[in-house]
Amino acid sequence: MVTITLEEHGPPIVHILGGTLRRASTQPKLARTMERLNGRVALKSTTDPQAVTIAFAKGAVHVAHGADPAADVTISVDLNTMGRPGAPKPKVKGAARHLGFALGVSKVLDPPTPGGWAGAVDEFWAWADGRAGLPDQLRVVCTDEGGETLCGSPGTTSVEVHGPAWALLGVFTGGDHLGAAILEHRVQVVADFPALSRFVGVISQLLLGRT
Amino acid sequence: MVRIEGTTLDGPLVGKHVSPEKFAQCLPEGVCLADFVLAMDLAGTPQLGWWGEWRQAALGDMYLRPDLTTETPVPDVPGVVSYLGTFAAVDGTPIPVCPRSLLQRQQARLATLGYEAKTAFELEFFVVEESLREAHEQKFKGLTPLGGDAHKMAYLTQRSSQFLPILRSATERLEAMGIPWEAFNDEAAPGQFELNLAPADPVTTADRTVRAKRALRDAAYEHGHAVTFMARPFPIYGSGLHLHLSLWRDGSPAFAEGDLIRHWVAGSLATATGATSIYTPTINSFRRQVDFAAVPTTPTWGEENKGAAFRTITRSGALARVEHRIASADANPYLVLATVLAGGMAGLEEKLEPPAPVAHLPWGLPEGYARLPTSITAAAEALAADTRLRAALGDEFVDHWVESRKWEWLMFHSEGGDPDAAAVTDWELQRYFEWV
Repeated sequence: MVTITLEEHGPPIVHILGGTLRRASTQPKLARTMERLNGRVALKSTTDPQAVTIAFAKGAVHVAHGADPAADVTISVDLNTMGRPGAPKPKVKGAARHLGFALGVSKVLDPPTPGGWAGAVDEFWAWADGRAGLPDQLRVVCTDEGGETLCGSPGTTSVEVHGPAWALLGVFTGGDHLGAAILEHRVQVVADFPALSRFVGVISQLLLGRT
Repeated sequence: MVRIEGTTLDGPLVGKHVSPEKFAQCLPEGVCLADFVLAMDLAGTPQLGWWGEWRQAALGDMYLRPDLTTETPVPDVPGVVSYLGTFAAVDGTPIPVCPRSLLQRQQARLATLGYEAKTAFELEFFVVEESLREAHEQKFKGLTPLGGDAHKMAYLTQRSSQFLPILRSATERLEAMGIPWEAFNDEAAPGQFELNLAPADPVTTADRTVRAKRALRDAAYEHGHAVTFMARPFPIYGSGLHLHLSLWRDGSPAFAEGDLIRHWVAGSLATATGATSIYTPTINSFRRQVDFAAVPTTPTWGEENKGAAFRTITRSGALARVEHRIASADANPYLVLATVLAGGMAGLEEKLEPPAPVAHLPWGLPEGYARLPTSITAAAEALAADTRLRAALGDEFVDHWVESRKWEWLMFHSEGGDPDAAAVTDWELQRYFEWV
């Protein structure tokens, strides 16, 4: 049994990592890993002040902002480019002394997505079903691996998202902000402004780990 | 030439300058502005994540309708007149998030209860030694408060030669615009001052306040300095926007009636937690909300208690009033007044009774005492849940405002803001120094 608690009114990074951990906890193998983990890991951005400490205590997981200097393992990473092709590799301190813990942490912080980008879209659509702001139809087109997926049915609102697999995976697993992904050209969209803005709101809920 | 302007939700004045011929043509609707001006942040980024039905799908226009009663000359610019206005949809319906319209509605509702409000802001601000150009070049970092940054007393007149030229230029501008002012003084922090305008009805008070802010900026510019209304641009003490309010019925002071002021205070207290989102709207606002800094941090009231959120002053029946002390200088005066009226009227309509007034210092209290929200997100959540303010201000405004505060929080953290920074961050200075 895994319980994940977040610092009240913590910054976005707390919610984003909380969401990642919750996603990991739904996968039985990773949930078992989380039940065994005992220790603290600090995750620090190399490019800005964002930092978080995750305390694992045999299934009880708490996420709070700030890097605990006494953490067993400290990971320094460019949070803005994490998961993208060519992103700098994270630097890990303390892994040699806490090898098992560091390995377990690396797994639960990067849970696999069954089905790749298309699986992430399906999972997102199931999660978002019934939420205000969801378009009647969502079409997602993968521009590098090929293929597309269609969710919902034709209606008054529709959104199309086009992009490479890694970018789609980021957006639909809550690892990337759709608004930023559009403005920084990681993905492209076809939608009217109201539908797009509302859809960004739904994706942001995913990003911020709202259950 | 005619200038027509109104404030966005965050407070900057926006509008257009038009020729006299165009002005005559555009009446009564006013001039067209793209409606996204009410849905972009202070950095000019379109806010994404929600959508108000008042918006048009493709960056369509809305009207900025001038209120012809607000005509004033523009000091220093002969031949230019200025009007303040309200935002309306192209079909003429009011935009539900228009700050001035919101206040007009609250003022009209108060009139239906049989009361008029007289209100006056105490406007606090900082003047820096540097010019606005120098401040820009320094990205607003490392600026020196006027007179230096050594700690000092308040109310000093001894160094008035440093600030008198600027403040006198500002008050001359006010006089040229027909705005009555009462006093100004040196304040507690280095480079900090306070300007008091004469009482007026709430809409007039807000109109005069946004114009006074412009007058102060223009006066400082003329003298080679810059002004900021940031809540806390420097480490010592922040700037507030305290509001004095009295109710009147048929020309007589209504707070002298006894129960009325208690109900007003009770309504203000009942909505204080949610209203904090509007009274302290920015990331920087919450740097001011600290104990023992003459800033209320608790939902409390008390007679002549300047530590409380609401200070009643009843020593003279004719002058009986409530000082609403939560708002910071970076708040939008229209929205502050609309929210104050909404809260007070809830108290009158429901005949709410306040808890006992506090006589003690409402700072440094042990756990168990209620506190006002301490972060932009906590305040936004409190406003979202406040049914009284929702009913008065409208779901469309409250939802838009709450989302815009969450957006502000997201931008701060994702654009390099440091939540643990002891001092004001570069992000805050660059976002707020010039625009709030």
